[in-house]
Formats: sequence, structure tokens, C-alpha cells
Amino acid sequence: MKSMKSPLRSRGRLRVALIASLVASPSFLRAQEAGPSLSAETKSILGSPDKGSGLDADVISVLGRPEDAKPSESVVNERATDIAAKLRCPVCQGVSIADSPSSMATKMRGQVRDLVTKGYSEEQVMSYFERSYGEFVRLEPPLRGLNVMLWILPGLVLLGGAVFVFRKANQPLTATANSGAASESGPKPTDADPELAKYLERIRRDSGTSS
Amino acid sequence: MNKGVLAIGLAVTVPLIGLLLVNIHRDPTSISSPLIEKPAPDVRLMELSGGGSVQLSSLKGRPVVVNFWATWCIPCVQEHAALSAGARANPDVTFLGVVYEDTAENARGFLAQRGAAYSSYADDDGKASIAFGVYGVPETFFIDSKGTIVEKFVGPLDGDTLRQRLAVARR
Repeated sequence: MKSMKSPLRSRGRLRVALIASLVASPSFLRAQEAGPSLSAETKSILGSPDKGSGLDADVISVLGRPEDAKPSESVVNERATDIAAKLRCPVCQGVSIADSPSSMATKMRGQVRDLVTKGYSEEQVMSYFERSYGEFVRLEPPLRGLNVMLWILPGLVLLGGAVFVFRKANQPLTATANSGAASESGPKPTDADPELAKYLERIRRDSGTSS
Repeated sequence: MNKGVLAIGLAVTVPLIGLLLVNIHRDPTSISSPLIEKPAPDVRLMELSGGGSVQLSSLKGRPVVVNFWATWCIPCVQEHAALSAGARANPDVTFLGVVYEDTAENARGFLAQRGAAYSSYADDDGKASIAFGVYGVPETFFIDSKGTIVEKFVGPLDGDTLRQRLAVARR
């Protein structure tokens, strides 16, 4: 069986090589560049012939040329997923583009992947989207300007509340009793009340707990 | 009443009332665009026929109106007549439509039926919509002759609104 397999495999290889040489041949490339006969979709996938680098004029005008080398497939996958989770889907309600099934989110994920593949860093990709949608597109507001308040205010309020509760808890009971009449509205057993003391004394005597 | 409690109450309510007074005249439906007064994204748009394409920066020198639309969008259908009339009445302005979340086939059918006074382009990969920060349709961007976005209009345009915005784009 082994001897049967190898010629088949080599024939397959030959076919691949033939197709590859055809694709790489100048006549095929010329046919691609002839343009008008191709559909817009094909063109958008292949990129226009005059954009040899495959880079988008708008992306270059915003971000410049990518500084990083083109990352490997696994790095692209990881980085693109990471960035997609941090970008807000503009047509949804508070969902990242990673979590949204909408067509717009799918296209945004495509753009993220495209930019990452070209070697742009996470911050560059975020800033590309921020240019169009504003800071809103970042699911996590960045720590700058008025946003700083968003991060420190909850902490300050919590701290203030803790201080308030701590001080109230440590206040002597007599001080609260004297200052507010409201706290005395309920029944409160006290030895200081002569009316109640009479009954208290009787209970103690009956139950045998009298000293 | 405790003075401390009063102070805390005022500290909470006064800024809230201030915020309300500052924003009371703001239209909650208008979404401000960070692109206003910024250069228009230099996107490449593909013709609906699949033939040629246009690079937006190549249109500098004349005011440009970019209208994002779709055939499934009722307000877009409503504003189509106003935009077509505007394009005919203002030959010094370049009007172009960008089809958002719709097929070129649908768009071609619609334009064949209703007439087209200007060209519409496809945005199959959504890159133009993303670059312009489009949230939905219709959205119309007014670009001056230097290529700066001067205005963004959300919702269906009528003749008067179009004239006003064009005057700003012609500045």
C-alpha cells in the first residue's frame, strides 16, 4: 500500500506546483491588474494593484506605517481577540465587538485583525477606532482628564462612608441618648426608672435571682 | 436639622442641578462626532457596478457630501429625493452615497427605480463606515473643499437642512 501512495502524493504535489506557477506567472498578474473585469468584492479582497503594500491610505494617514514586524498567526489571533474585547460595539448596548453577533461588529473585528496582521500595536489599533468613534469606543475609560474621577470617586465615597460608620459606632451610648429624644420613644428597660424598678425588683424576687 | 447633613445634601444636589441646566438644551438624539473639524478619512470606495473606485482625498478642491444609506432604511428612502434635488441644484458640490450594510444588487435596483443624480459606492468590508464612525443610517457628512469635515447630520435630510449645511461646507 505504501508504494501505491507515494506516486499519488507526488502527482498531487505536481498539481499544486502547477497551480502555484500559474498564479505567480506574469500573465496571471497582468490579468489581475487589468481591473475592470473584476468585481468590487474580489478587488477589496485582493487589494488594489496600486497599493503594493496592501496598506490603506486612511490607516497610514492616521497611524503612519506599522513599527512592529508582522506578527505570527498565533500572535495575531491572541492580540486581535484581546483588542476586540476592549472595543465597544457602536450599534449595540454596552457590548464589546468580541461579544456581539452584529454585522457591524463582525466588520470591526475584521478591521482589528487586519491592522494587527499589518503589525500595528494594540494602542495604535485602539486609537484608530477612537479617531472615528471617540473615547466612547473604549469599553474601559482611559485614566485621563475627567475620567480620573470615575476611578477615584467610588473609592472616596466608600472611604467616607467607612469613616462615618466607624465614628458613629465609637460614640458613647449616653451621648446619643441625651442628644436625641427619638431614641427614647421605644420601651427600654432601665434600672434608673423608679416605676420600672418596682416591677423589676418583684420579678427578681419571684424568680429567685435577687441578690 | 443637622448642618452636616444639609452640607452633604447640597454637595450632592447642586452639581446635579448644574449638570442638568448646562445640558438642558442639548439634543439627546444627536451623537457628536470626534471627526468634526478634522480631515475626512481618506477611504477608497468601490463603484456599485464593480468597475472603478474613488479615493476620497482625490475629491479635494470642491465641497463633498457623503451620505451613508441602505435600501432597508426608511428615513434613507425618504431623504433620497431631497438629496437628488440637492445634487442637481448644486453642481459645484460632489455628492456621493455609501451603501451601509446592504448589497450592491439591492442598491442598484433601488437607484434604477428611483433615479440617481449622483454615484453611490459599496462598502462591503465596512472600512469606510468604520473610518467615518457611522452608528447607523442615514448619516451625512459635509466636507469642505480642503477636505475637512465641517458637519455631521444624523437622520433624514430635507431641502432646507441640506441648503444650510451646504452653506457651511462652502465657507
